[in-house]
Amino acid sequence: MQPILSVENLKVIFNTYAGTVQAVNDVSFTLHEGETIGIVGESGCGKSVTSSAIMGLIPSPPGRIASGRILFEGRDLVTMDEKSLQKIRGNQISMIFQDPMTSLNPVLTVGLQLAESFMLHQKLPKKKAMEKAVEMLKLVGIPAPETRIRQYPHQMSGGMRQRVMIAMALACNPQILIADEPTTALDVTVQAQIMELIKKLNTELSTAVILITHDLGVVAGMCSRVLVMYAGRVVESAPVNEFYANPQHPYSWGLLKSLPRPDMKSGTLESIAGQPPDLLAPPSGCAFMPRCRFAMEVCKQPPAPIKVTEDHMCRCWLLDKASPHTPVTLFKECETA
Amino acid sequence: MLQYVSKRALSMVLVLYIVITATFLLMHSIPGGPFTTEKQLTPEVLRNINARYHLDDPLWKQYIDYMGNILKFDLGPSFKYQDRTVNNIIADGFPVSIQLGTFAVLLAVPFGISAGILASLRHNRPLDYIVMSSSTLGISIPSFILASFLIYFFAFKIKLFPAAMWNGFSYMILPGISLAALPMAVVARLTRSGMLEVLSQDFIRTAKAKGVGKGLIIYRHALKNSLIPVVTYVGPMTAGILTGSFVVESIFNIPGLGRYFVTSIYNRDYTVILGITIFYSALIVIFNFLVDIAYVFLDPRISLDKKGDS
Repeated sequence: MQPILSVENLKVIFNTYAGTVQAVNDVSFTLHEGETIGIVGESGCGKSVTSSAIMGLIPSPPGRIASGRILFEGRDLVTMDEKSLQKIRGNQISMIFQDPMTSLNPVLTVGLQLAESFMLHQKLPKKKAMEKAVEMLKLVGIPAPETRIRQYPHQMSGGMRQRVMIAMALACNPQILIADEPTTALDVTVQAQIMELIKKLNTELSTAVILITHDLGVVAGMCSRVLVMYAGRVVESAPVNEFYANPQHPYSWGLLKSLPRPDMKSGTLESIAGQPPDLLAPPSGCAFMPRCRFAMEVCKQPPAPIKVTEDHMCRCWLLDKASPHTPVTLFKECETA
Repeated sequence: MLQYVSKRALSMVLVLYIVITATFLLMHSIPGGPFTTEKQLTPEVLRNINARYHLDDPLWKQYIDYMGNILKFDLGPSFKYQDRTVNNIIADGFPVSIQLGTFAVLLAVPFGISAGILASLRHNRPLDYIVMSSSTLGISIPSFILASFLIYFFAFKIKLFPAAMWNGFSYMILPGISLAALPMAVVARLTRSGMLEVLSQDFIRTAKAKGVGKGLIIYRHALKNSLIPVVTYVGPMTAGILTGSFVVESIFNIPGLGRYFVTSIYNRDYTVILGITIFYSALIVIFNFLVDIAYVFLDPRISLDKKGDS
């Protein structure tokens, strides 16, 4: 099946006073209709920049897409002009942002902000668009939508505002929904509701979802594929079952082990020691090497992507034919340690 | 809202009362009076005049009389211009000042806001620098220098506009520009910094992600958010401009209120000083009130009734 979105060797850089930051480096992945993929990784690993690049929202200057293609329905979003991008944004590809508290305009009614999508993309008159806005609020489970559309964001709770954001993103029934840490700013019970809602809409409207998160638990429950990003690169990508059963990259192990589990005995969670590398001067070899327990001499060279199975990719020297270790035994070892 | 308005009206009256009292006392505490001129008057004449204007009454009685008249909107007779009352003077001068002032405000606000928006959109690029440096000029050049320059250039060199007097629209242009330069510069700066702040907000990114075009982003999503500091400044500024500028009105020989105000101080024309002060304060108080009302329309989070949300 043709993917609806394919990102090919995407590279995004930011020119700062201190130098050039390579925020996203050689990232490739595909997304199929109705599929949900999860992009995980620490803060600053390039997850959000990747999604902004897809939306064409890299602030420029200082940022710019240095190379690569983003193919949507066969058209390259990277080279597309602003007018055509505007027709796609919010219409065919839309996005939910991290912080619902600041992502809605405080001086416009929720109804107008929602209706705006319909007015822009479906050329509906304001009155019709407002009726549609009511429907959308109903769809995302906001009670009394008729009164809510006349309210302003400050009159709503965080969870409610994120529902509004979702309604806004889904207004024109997009093929792709990018959710950039949609629950980070919300408390746990609301988080679950929001994730449930995204999942429900994903199945009902068959919208493909790119879920950006650092919550591997959420990924396990929602996604069909996982991309692990580190320092601007995809270090491992695998179908979700394969990823949890057979992770290959030491960074993925670290992420998985820092997750609380019901069968855990001791009280402290493990963390990955050290800091992500400075992207102004990234290490020439594997970016994870300074933090990796299994680093070898060869890790000073950049690792090439290696196919573990047909759709499981990993960038790690441990998988090289010449490697003295097999990653699986190492993972078992460090799990029991 | 109604509760707020009535509360506010009371406090406005109180402010005006304090202004009147303070001005009244200050004025009378300065030695000398309206009729102490270089021309020596005989004591009899002086006594007669003082009696005529009740200046021989004790201060408290003058004060009470004056307050009583104010309640009837009677600001009293001028001490200097015979046969004219303060009400006459305001009625003569204010329409002139208001025409000039309105023209200046209409120059300052729209042009200032547009320049500020343009500068913010071209942040750190040539256009931004041009707008910002000309606004620095606008703020730092005193109006009398700008006025002299405008007269020299437009009235004498290229003879486009009249140099002075007050006989129609073309007479308004040079004084209008002189009067508008400073507020226009301030408005441009305030708009620019407000826009820059708002344009980096998350909700602007949301709007872009929705596919909103540049024009609508500025007009619908950013402008309203960034106008609050501008409105705060424009309110009192309008009151100031409408009551006239002494400097500009003097240079262009315009018979506006500002000129009367300053000459009345030299003349120790008690009632005119007081009357124009009251008039001016009333305007400022009213415009500040309008600004507060305007906030509510600009930002729904501001509630005047202090009852919290909704």
